[in-house]
Amino acid sequence: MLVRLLPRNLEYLWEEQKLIKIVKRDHPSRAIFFLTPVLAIFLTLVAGGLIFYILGFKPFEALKFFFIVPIADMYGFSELLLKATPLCLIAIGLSFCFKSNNWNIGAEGQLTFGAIVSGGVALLFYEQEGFYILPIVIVAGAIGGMLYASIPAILKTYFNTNEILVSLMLVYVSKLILDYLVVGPWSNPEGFNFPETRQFSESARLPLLVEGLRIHAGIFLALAAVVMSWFIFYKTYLGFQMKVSGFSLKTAKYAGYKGKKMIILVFLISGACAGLAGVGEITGPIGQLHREVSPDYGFTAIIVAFLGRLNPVGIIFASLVVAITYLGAETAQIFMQIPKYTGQVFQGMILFFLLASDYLLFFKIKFIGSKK
Amino acid sequence: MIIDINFVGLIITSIMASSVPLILASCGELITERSGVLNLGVEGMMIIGAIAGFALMTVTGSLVIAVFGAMFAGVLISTIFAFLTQTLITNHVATGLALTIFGIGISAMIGKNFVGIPGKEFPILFGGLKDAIPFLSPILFGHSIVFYFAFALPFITNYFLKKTKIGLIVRAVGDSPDSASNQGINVRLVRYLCILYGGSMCGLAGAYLSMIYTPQWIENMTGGRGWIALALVVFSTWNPIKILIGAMIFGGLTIIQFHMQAIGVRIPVQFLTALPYIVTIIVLVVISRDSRKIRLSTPSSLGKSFYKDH
Amino acid sequence: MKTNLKISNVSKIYPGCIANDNVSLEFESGKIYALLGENGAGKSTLVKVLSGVIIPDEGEIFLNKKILKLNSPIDAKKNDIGMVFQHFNLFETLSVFENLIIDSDETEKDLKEKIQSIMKKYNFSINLDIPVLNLSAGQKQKVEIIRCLIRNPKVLIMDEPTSVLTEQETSELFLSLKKFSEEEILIIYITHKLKEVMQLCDEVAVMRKGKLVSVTQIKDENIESLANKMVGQNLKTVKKKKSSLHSSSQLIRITNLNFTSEDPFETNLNNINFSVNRGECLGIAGISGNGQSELFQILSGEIISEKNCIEFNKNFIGDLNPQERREHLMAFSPEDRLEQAAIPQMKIFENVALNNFKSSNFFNNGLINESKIREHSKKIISDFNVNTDNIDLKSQFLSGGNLQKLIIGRELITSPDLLICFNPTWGLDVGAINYIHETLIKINEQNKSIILISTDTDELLKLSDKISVIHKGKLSKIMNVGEVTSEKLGILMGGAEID
Repeated sequence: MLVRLLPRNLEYLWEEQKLIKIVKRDHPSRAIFFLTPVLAIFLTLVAGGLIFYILGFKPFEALKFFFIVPIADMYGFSELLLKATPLCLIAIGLSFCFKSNNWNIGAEGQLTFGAIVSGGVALLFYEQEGFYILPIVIVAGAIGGMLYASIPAILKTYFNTNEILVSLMLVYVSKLILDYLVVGPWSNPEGFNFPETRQFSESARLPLLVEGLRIHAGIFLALAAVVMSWFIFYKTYLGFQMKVSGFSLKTAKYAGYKGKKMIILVFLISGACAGLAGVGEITGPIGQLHREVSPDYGFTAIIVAFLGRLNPVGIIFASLVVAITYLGAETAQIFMQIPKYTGQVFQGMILFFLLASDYLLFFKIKFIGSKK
Repeated sequence: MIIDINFVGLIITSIMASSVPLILASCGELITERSGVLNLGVEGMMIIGAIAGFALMTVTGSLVIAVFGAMFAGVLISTIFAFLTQTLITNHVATGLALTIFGIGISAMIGKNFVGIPGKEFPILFGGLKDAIPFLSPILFGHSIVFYFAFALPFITNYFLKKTKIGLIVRAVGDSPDSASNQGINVRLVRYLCILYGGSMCGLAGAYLSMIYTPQWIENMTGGRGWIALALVVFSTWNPIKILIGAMIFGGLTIIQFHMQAIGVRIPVQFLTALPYIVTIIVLVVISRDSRKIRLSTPSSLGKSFYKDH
Repeated sequence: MKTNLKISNVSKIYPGCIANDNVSLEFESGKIYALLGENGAGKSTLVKVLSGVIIPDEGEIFLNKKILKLNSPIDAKKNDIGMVFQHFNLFETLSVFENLIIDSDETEKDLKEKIQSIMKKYNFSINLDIPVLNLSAGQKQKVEIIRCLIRNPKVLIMDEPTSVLTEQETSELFLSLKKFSEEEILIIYITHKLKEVMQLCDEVAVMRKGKLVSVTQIKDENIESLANKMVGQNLKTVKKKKSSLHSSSQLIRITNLNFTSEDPFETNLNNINFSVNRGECLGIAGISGNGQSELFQILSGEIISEKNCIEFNKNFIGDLNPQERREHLMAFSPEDRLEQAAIPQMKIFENVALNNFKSSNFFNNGLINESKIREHSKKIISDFNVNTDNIDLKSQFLSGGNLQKLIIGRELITSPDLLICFNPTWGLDVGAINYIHETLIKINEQNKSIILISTDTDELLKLSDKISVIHKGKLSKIMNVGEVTSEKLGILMGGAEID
């Protein structure tokens, strides 16, 4: 027979050392609520500097190229907004899901499918002009995202299937569909076999806002989403129902809220947001479909949602912070040959540190003198 | 078309080889989940194991160090997950995702210097018998020790869970951490160990990919296998023997797409690549419909955080 | 060999509450001790200290004059203290034998033999190889007892053991406990049920609000004196005037209701038929786990039935959800305050908004009308005596009694024709219980009806006009409360004599 495990309680060990005592708070401290994201960012910078140092780069210089240089000029700042826009938009959609305990991990797939549908529609009009084309393309993207998100939603509500795994599997499927279309049936016949579709017509493109900068009208979609989600969450019955469902499905049922409809609704909203982000990507600066349309915005947006605490205003700030990690990774690579994946490393670390710092929300660390 | 029996044997062997990383990762994650912890970071732990193994192999030249180093890397990275979810009581889903994103990023960062380097030859066992018996020989002989270990693992895991005291404790903790704690079992410690074990198996799975199966380091080379491994655990209703069967099916799907192309079947390559993911979804739907069965075999405390109020 | 257990100046303080305040007690084997007190008096905390689950802030425990260092349940077991918790510490998906071997050092063979001999000695009979979830509550308790007996304990503590037992199982338990006591095992029996204390125990220690109030011999006490010690004030008992004239109009009628669940943990309901007139209170008695929860959910609309199964006020409403039923003037107060009726992390006025009846105007055109909700909440707080002024307070900070008053107030303020409540007073202090009982009686006096599902037979006998017993999903015939005694109820609850 194997050894039985010893029942030594870890916390009690700490108490024995008479150094620190962990005490549960009565209620989460308000001050800490706003401080922990800041703490998390700070710790990420420190850890990042350490990693640079280990890899043989000068930490402060690397951090400078990572966080300051990219946004030092107007162009850089507009690139920041350009990257923050889809992040913000998707994260807003995700906040609807996460608040009601629906773990939609497949936003990347919904983004891709939205891009596919809207791209397909745009290609239908590739030779035509007209003010009506862009709205149709945008709506198509939203619908595409909604359709794709409805799959995990329906499977969850009617077949009891875990939405995490389903939405995740669908990400891979959507990317493969896109790949197939771009090198196959939708490939540009005059494109010299490059893996891309025809260019969309001017009417299907999101107008650029400022001459010389790549920032486009998609940013208005993101802002509209922020305002709408704020309104829905705090001012409507629907938002109240979502809040209750997030706390306790039992209570939601008792109150008579239509649980199944709510699940489908939040997935549709989230899918629409992700789909719109997809539209933004392809009708913005790029203007056609490529084999890949997103540098994993759908996954990074999950980090943005958590970092912003599922709150519309918080998400705006969080999307800016995370957008810097994308830009910074590119800049650092150009100037210091630091591999581009450091961006992902920073993103993972921010989430780690934020989750860890949240511990302080619920527990106080007290320093006590020695007991008898 | 004449079907050569040796050819069939070889196909079965390649299916088995393809299923090795899935078996390893799933059996590891199974133990973790049996103790009530949902670790979505499997993909991240696998890829870290892959680069750790390959890097150590290239740098030290020793395969032993590389394999154990990869397992150790898996343990190390899963320690972060364990500390966050068990001591700091963070949300399991978010932490697991962070682990995956971080893992992919850091493995690519380290792996930059190892791209394009050819792998070392990995020793195989019973090589001499490879051509002795038609059909059976290629299946039974001539594989690496990791391969044999992977096919023994589901049975070892099953024995562990059903017949040993510690296995019983793991199942008890997964069933009801409060009851376990009230009986003096250190729930946190048990879960820590299960998480670390899961990490070591995922690390080994990754190392197998980069050192034996491919053998090369390519960015993002796990390609979603970690997620399929997670699905496998659910699909097998937390039963190690069923993992073996499921892994073969999914391993098979990946192999079939190569051979379909070779035969000239006119299906777009993307569809064949997508098959494993689509089939996973279908299987999940079918399994989950029987809510009674799921309820009886799911570790009751899966995914819920445990806090002991003193 | 005699055993002496001494608790010396034990204190345990939680933020906002003193669970144990300088408690000192001494026990000797050969006697059965009762530890008596209301919910929240501190009895559970004290025995958790004895069994190593909780570490006291101050004080010591001595067993046979030797000081004990109880840092964990394992230490308690090593010192031959066995405890059977109120909520069993069993692993439902593991077999009985696996549950027993998990904290034992013996080999499989030895342990099996030991278990068999224990079962033979005390006349228990349980299949060792089936999963625990398939056992009845009484059998589960026996498994817990066997688990303690395997270690030859010197002390055996039972925490509120009879809340899930039938009458028959309770007698069996008392027999076993008396046998253990004869074998010099020190028995400590924790309860708030006065009848049991009088029946079973030799000496009684009463706790109130964390303090030890008295230690006396049972032969010097009776139920009233114990009740007074427990509560500390003279109880004015609430009595219902049995009015002979009821409006004979039928308010609600259930016909041929059946419910089959896919969930193995739920109870199926079989051929339920009953009706309730206006101004009447129908009590449904039973041991928990016999279908009450499912019945409540069907009546409230959380589980949808066939339309014609439920006729309310001449409307067929079986297929309506809770919100729609509220609009027909039904109200529901569930058993679970913390996970169903309210959300602890939400503020009081937010919890009030959970019951959104049509005329309330909480949500005009889909928008939140916060001022209306607040106004309404203030009225509930004052009308129903909820002890706070602050409707922005998160409801987790309300005491059990106040939360329950808030919930009932929320349901009643709209003057529904029918209130369905499930264990409305469990876990509450006597003052709150009395208040709620008074409120329920008043409802009947206003010619509104109540369906009262409860596991507390005293409460049912006090408040109901008609009464029925639910057992394994079936209802007994409906009886007038005047014709029923608690013994008869006990027999029906145990499963005998069901039509």
